[in-house]
Amino acid sequence: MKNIIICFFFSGIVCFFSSCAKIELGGDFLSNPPDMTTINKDTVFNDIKYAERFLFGAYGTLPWPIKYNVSQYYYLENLTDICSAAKGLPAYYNGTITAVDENTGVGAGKFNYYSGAWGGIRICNIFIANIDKVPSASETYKRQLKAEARAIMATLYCNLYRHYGGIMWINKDLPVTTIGEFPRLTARATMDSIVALCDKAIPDLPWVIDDIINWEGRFTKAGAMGIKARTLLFGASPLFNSATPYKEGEAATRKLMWNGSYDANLWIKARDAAKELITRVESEGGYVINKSTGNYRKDFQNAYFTRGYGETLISTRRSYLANTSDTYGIVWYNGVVNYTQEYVDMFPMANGKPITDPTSGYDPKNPYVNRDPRLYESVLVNGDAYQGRKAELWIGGKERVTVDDSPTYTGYGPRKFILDHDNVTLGGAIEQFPLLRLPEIYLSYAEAENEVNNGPTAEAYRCVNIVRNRVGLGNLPSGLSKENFREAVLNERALEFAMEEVRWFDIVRWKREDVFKKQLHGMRIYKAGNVLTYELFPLDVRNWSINWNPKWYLSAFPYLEIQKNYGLIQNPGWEI
Amino acid sequence: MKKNLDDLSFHFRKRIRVNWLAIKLLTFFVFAGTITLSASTYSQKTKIDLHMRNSSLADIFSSIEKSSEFIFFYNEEVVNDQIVKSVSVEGEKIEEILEQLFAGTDIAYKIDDHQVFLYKKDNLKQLEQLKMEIKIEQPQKKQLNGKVTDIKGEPIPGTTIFVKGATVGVVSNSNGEFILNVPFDSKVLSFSFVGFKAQEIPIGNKTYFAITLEEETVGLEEVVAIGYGVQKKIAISGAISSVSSADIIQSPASNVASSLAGRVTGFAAVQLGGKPGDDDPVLFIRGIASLTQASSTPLILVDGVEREFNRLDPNEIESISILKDASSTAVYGVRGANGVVLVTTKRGKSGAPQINFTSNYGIQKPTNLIKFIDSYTYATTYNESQLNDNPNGSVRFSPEAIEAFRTNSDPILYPNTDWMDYMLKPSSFNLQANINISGGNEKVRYFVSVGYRNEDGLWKKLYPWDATFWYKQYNLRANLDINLTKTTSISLTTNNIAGRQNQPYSSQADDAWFRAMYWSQPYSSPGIIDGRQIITGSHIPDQMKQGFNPDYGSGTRTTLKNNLNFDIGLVQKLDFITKGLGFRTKVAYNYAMAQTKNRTINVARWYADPLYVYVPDAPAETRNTVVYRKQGDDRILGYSESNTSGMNWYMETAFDYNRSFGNHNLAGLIMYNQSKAYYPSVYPDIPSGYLGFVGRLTYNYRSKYFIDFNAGYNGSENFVKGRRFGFFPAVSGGWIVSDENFMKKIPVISHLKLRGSYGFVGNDKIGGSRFLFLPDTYNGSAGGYNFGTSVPQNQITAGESTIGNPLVTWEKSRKQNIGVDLKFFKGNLGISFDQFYEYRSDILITRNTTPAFIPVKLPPVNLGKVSNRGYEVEVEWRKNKKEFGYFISVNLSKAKNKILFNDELPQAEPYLATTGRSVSQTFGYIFDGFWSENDITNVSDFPTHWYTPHAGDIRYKDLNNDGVVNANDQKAIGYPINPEITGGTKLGMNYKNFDFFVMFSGATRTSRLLGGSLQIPFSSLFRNTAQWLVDGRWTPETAETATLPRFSLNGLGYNYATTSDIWMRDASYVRLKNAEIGYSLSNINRFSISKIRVYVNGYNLLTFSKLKITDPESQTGDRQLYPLMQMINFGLNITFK
Repeated sequence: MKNIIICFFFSGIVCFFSSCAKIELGGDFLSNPPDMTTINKDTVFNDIKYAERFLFGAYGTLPWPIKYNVSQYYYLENLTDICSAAKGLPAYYNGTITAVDENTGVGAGKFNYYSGAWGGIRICNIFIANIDKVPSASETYKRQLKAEARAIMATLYCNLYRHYGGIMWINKDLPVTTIGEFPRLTARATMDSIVALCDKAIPDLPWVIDDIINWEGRFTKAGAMGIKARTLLFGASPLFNSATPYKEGEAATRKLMWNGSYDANLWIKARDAAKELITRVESEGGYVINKSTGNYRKDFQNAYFTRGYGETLISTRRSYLANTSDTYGIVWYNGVVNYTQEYVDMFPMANGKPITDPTSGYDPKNPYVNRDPRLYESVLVNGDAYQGRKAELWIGGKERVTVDDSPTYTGYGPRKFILDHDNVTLGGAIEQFPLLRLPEIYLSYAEAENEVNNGPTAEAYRCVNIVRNRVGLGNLPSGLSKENFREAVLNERALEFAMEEVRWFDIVRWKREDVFKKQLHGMRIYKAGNVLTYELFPLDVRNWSINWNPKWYLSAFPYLEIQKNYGLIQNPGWEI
Repeated sequence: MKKNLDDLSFHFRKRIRVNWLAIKLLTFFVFAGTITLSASTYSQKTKIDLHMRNSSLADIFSSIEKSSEFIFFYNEEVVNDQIVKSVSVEGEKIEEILEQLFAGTDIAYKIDDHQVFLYKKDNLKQLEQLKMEIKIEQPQKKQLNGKVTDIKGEPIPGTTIFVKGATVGVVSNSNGEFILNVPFDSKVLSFSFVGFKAQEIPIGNKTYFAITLEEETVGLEEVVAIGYGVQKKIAISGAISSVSSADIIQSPASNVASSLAGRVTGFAAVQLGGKPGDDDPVLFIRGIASLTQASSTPLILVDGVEREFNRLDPNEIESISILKDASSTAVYGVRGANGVVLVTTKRGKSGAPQINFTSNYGIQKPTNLIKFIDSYTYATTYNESQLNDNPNGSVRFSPEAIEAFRTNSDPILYPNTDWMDYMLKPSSFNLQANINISGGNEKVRYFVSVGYRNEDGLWKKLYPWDATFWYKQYNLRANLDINLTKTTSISLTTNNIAGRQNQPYSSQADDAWFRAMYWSQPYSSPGIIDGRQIITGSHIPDQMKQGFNPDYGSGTRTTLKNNLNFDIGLVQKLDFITKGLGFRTKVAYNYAMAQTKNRTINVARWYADPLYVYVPDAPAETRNTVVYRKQGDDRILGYSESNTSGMNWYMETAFDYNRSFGNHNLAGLIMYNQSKAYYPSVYPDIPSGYLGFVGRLTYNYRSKYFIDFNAGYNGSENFVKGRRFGFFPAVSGGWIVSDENFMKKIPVISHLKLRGSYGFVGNDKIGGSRFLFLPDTYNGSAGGYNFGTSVPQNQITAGESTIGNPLVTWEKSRKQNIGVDLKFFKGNLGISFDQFYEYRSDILITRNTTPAFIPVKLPPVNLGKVSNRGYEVEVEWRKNKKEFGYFISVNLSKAKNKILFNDELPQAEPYLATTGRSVSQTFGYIFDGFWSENDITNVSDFPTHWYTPHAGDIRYKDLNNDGVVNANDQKAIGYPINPEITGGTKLGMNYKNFDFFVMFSGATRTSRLLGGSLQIPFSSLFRNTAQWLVDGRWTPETAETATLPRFSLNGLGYNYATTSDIWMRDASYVRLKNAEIGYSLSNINRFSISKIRVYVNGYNLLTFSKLKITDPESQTGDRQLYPLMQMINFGLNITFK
């Protein structure tokens, strides 16, 4: 009787089990991971569709300088003389930033390009190492894709080079467990490597994208040639190309942040690289700088803003439409960027004459009339047409409610990239960021030609004037000295490329301590009745203007990267 | 042969009667029809097992008498030694045995209940004679009666009372009373009960005995739940704390874990919030030994199975064991490293049904509500902040507004709403009730409990729908043990917990409610007027935040949770194979579901503007007429619901062995167990499983020298095949020194035991991930990039996704423990001390040394190392007298961890390093005073800060003296959130019918970093500000006494939102955690009540802490939880016989 009960009980337990799961004992009982239906490296490089997607991921790592950090003020332009952040870039303006601050990414530190740039380089390395495995794609197309990857890599390396000087050269798909020595190349070797990378990419890239409606934005020969010219110009400039390093230190001894000597040939190389591109543009077309329609302002706006317009050699495009509340929007408008009076004063009159020229027609009581059209397209100035009315930048005006109203506390508002900051002009606009525009090459060429020939040649003048004429400015006065011409070119670059990250590298590569030391100003406009009065006021003193140190020319490597012991040597002045 | 019949029949009659009552009540509750106890005579329901070979009848009868209540009456002439019989029966009735025995003899029998009369066949006269003899025997005896109680006066049912040297005896009834007829020549009565000191009382001429039994102080027989079994307390050589049922019931805390805090050593519960139905504390056993809090949580088992713990009804719990060292947790192997909490629920015991009813009703209120500023203070200090930034600048609040706030002249346009006061009741009620019945006989034992809990929340009912907090819980448990045969028993455990929780609907995380109140400005709204939510209009600049925000008034949410547990177990004695061997198996099933019902609604909001906004030149007297502007519309209540459910089962099967060979006592266990959980949160389609083997071997000699070996061999699916199984052994030993002869000379020490253990355990908690060993994966659609000039669709991008680590394995913990238990003065003073050290290695971390040019999401690797060391001490003094008894006990636990390795890179300054510091150490700047006007004029004499200072701003210390205050000047500040030292003091006494108990619990070496609303005034420029910030701020007038920097909007980030020691607060506390006073009445011989106790108790009654701003246990950031509660309860406990 009781045995029956026990049997019954046991069979009950067994049934219970069987209903729960198969009877599995021991190791089989433990669950196994899901079948690997997910994608891995082999599947990506087994299908051209996925391989292309992987490369497009690399495009996504191209710099997007106007969107670094939506809540902070880390715009490279804010370190130059043309802009100032309303709330300041405290660590920079008061000079307290150290290599340790760079440990923690964008925002807390400077810009931390170092940590930011490698993601794209890794993608390109993996792509180059594996693309040949892809079946069913033509060799020509694979060569083109590889060249695109090299061009993206060159663009990223070029930024590292301009921020840090010599950099370790990673050209392999490194496993996660990698340890070992990865020393920085010398500055010269870094430049040569970037140029070689471009040279390798150029032959396999198309001159222009045939189907611009669908594929504009992919790398072209012209883009790669442009990066090459940009790199060579930086390497030829006095920061690196000099008889002495800009600052002594271990990095200087090892020639990691200068070339070790002055080499006049570098200017020739820089000139030739730019010239080669210009010559081809002018003979072959596809890109154009002077598409003058007579509406100079619109022309200039199209030049940097409009896709497919012909001036942009490399663009970044993370989405289709501009987002008024993010990309070009409120955030930027909230005082992240404030143009200085010094910048406004750099713009000549519409007749091309600088405002300091008594014959220019400049009226200090009415300072914003008849100026270079690019002023109005870059800077929001009082009285200009804005949102269907006139911009009110006097204190108490619509754009400047109080004296400290952060969006306009220098007396000027941003216009470039955010247009009228409304749904009419910006809302729904198709966005891009012009990473490299043709005018830069023209001006780089003019600059290098001036250096090579110890003075401006006709060709140098021609190239500057093409840029000026496009917005209706007359030619530069002839007979300028080498120095004056150089200054005129740098000035022209400042006017042309507001917020395009050109000015910072210009003042750095020319070691323009004088620009760093400028006391910058803002403008307070008071309105009484219909009378406007203008009052210049000094902006907060930047620490480097009173306490100069050439360390500022290059960035600090994050302190913890140095500590990782792979042979990274800090730039001079940033050692701890 | 001479058992006293009247005594016995008294006893059994009583039992039968009460059994009927039990059945009625049982039927009423749950078990309709499943238990039927027959009231048939003893002979009908008694089954006998008997195996005897070639024995005399007399021997056979005496054997039956021993194993049952039968008594044989016969004359020697009828039954003599010449008759030798063999008998072998199992579970047979007495008649069957007698038929067998007397087959072929001339013996006849007559059974009268438990009396068996034997006589010669057909000789009925002999039978009558026998019956007469019994009656004649009666007058030769005298009747004694009395009552047995414990020191507190509680009756002790089941006490064995017998005449020394004789077999005459009874067992006391449920009131502790007994009646015993003894022969006149009886001299001494003996009283004994398990756990109490036996007493022998001379009978003399007394007939009434009031006996008080004292508890056995050394507790030799006390057993403690250990992993997969129980062990005598005396035999334990590891580190185990245990708490009994009485202790748990004594605390009115609404969750079980909180009621343990302060009572036992080595166990910390930090209660962060008090939301009804959702106030589970964070638990740690011996602190944190991994690198994160999440990886350091203990394994919690209820009746041996991982399941809901905090929502158990405390009345259902028999005991809780806290397993702390390697020897006690090695059997849990890969999951034992963080310690184990073992909860054992109550089960029935043989005896008359005990019905126990408890109910208490209490009120509760927050221990501490943060105080915020009023409208006037807000307006003046906000303006002050603006003027501090720019003395010539404009201010947000006009003089008119400030005046209106000051005089409170216009409560609609210029309201001053204290949001907490407006939305919260000062207190709320809670009600708890439980009724349970337990009892049974040799065959069936039962424990049935029904519990109810109703906790009301603090929210006022401001809307027609029920947007308030409340929680109701129903607990139902039936634990049943059935002896199928003498060697086979099964146990059934069923438990259901149903909880219903209500709260205002929220689109945000649940704890957004208090945050909303903290952020709301007092002027933002006058509240609800005539059913309308009013919001202050544009006459006060924008950015209003009301306590209603973000969505109070948008409905209500009810969550129904049901948790069902079911166990079935079987124990089979296998003595027929070898003595002491047993087999057991158990299957457990758990099912949990939660259903969330949202009733959402939109209500219109009404902006209250003054008329002048619309009519600027309105006559002065009408300027402040209110114009209501409606925004949005009222909608009707919507409905949506969501469901989640989970299921898991567990199975174990084991062989036990337990036998003594003379002085050698040996026990062993071999077990296989496995469990499976369905619908885990990661890869829900793949159930997760565990399996393991358990081995235990314990040996002791003379119960004086002990040695235990424990081991687990476990597999975890978290690791790659081939690396899934680990072996975790531990050894422990004990020595009862006081049992040695040389110690007997020191009578002051009544007990001294030395313990030590050493072993290895594992931890496979790896941050909630599964299958970390999987190879690298790519993401085929990681993002998008837009090519072309006019193609709105992005091109899809692909990229690297996760990088795998095929070698990933569990954390390894090496633990050692040494302990001493001491008792002095016959056990009145007890001291227990444990010291432990743990070395945890192979903790999962991500490498810090990977260069930036390998920018991948790094896989976790087993590299981290943490040490954890500490001690626990408990001292208890106990004195029990007849009418007055008291005890006091103090306990203290310390656990301090240290990071030994986390792949940290050399820091710029040694004090920046986290290696060598506690896990989760906070780093921050050091406050170095406020800048004075004079300092500012000589600013170049001071280190450069990242902010241009003004008088009243904080100056931070330049720790490395490099002239610049920057990230390199942050050092370790404060202690961990989870205290390094915790302790408690218990004090109890009883006098006659009164009992009194208090418990203090405390913690030290713990800090809170103030954050969010507690740290930053006008945070995000407009949020409300805590009163203490205003009180402590620097102004030119308070420059000497200020404790906080000046108010300045530009300087908020620098002064207030920067982590510095100014915000790091000592959160040590001492709390009157629990106090209780009760009055008991027993011997109420009415309504079947044996005892009534009324009591008042309290929880979190007083708190002493340096941290006054908020409760020292609570979170101090912006993610504020529901506040902690204090309670006062009035309770009633009735025991029915």
